[in-house]
Amino acid sequence: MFRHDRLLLFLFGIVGVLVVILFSVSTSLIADEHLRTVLFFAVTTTTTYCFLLGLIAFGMLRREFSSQHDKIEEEKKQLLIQVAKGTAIISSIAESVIVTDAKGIVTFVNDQACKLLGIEQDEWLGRDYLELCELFTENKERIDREKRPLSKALLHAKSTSSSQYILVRKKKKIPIALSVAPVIVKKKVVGAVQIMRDITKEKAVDTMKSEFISLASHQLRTPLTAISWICEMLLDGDYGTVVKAQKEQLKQIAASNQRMIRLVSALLDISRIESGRLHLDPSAFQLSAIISDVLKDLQSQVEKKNLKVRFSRTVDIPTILADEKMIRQVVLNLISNAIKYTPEQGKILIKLSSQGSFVQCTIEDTGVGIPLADQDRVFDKFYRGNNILVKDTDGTGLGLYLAKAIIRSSRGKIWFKSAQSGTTFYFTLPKQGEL
Amino acid sequence: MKRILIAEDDAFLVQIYESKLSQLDYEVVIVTDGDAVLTSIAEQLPDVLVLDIMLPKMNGFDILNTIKSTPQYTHIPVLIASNLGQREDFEKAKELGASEYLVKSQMGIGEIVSVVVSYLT
Repeated sequence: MFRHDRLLLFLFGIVGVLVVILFSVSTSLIADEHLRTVLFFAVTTTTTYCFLLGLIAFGMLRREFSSQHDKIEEEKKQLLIQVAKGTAIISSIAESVIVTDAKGIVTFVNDQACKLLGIEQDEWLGRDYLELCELFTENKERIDREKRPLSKALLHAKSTSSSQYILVRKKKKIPIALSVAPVIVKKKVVGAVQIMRDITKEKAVDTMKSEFISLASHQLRTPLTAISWICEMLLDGDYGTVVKAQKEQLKQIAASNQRMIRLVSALLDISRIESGRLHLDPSAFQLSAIISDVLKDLQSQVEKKNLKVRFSRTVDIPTILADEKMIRQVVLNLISNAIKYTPEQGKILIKLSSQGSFVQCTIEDTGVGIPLADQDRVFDKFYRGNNILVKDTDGTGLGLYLAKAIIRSSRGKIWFKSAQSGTTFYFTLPKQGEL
Repeated sequence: MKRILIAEDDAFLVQIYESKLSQLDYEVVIVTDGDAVLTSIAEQLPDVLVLDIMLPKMNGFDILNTIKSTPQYTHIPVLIASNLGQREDFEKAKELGASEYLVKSQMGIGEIVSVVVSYLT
């Protein structure tokens, strides 16, 4: 508004100048000298006033333009500083950064990207990125051009986050972690930013760790196997007759040994979970089949304690998609616990139901319950409830920790409710095709 | 008499195998390293091979691969008996042509012997 006022004043000045010119031309046409004089003064006064106003406005406008120009220059300078900072940051980070336009033509690369692919900076610019290198899955399957993360970003505005691939350039294979994000302006993809990290060293360390764990678990299991087999043969009378008291002690040795074997296996599983190397192998299966199978395996323990076990399910339970072997381990663990901590003649109720996108399993017992003070730590590693330590020395304290890790890795949830009258464990797993 | 070749490097387990199998009517040959397995296969032509994986000189997977790619030995059932029990190990053994994968710490000696005998009858 202020600027418009000054523009108006400036226009006054222009009008004044025009009036002077007009007057000069018109006075020559008026014959009466008196009238000419009056007109001269009137016009001169008006014109001078307008002209002065115009001059003032012009000065103000000039100052305004000058101030605006300075501001623009300052903003330009700040913008250049920001761009320089951004470039310095991108150049100094350990990740390779490649920016392309909407057609996948490279518009920017940092030094790391040049080093990673062995391509000079000048060679990148203006080239189709997808033609510069190939991409393979971790299973060494080549990914077609249209299925590559960059294509997905450019064609479908789809982001890829920290996925692992093998990059191949001139027959050189480089394991990488790759993230790609589309650049979207006014709902239109105008390019993409691709960030890659060379994970060769991580892979090597991973392999070494994997080998170490396998070796350690193998070395630990071998003497335990020898103890187990010798106990078995002694108990079978392969080395001569064993008296009853000796048999009892041998059974104790065998049971303790089995516990140690389970502990070694659980530690190996935990190590794999914690290092992210627990490879789940999902397949479609009926959870009810697993539960029935586990119940069959545990039948002798149920009978020994004279427990009433009921398994109910609704008719519409669909198949789930998870690692069958791992889920069996979870089911076995939860039902074994229910059996272990439920007094003789107690009840165990197992229910399967459909809950939206998930299948829910409930294992309810009339056992000793989990003390309130222990409830926060039930899923902790090596944690065992105070009230069960005296009754059961056989547990490893790893079963529920593993169960939680497996269920969470399978995109499900696990929780429980417990009172003195018993405990109910719940877990959910996604239905096939739902997630 | 049917012949069982056992490749096992742990001295205690070797003793247990010998002790348990001596009760049966089979000829039992025990070797304790990878190279000896291949030599024994050629010399003894066993009816079944019980093969550990972690063996000195040559590991069980390489031995299995060699046996299954040698036409005159491909018919010999190879039963892996190892304490390596990860999915990758099972898959690798299956891929290479093992007939069974027995995790020693998860089985009794009686069960293992039963499986071995099932390949001889």
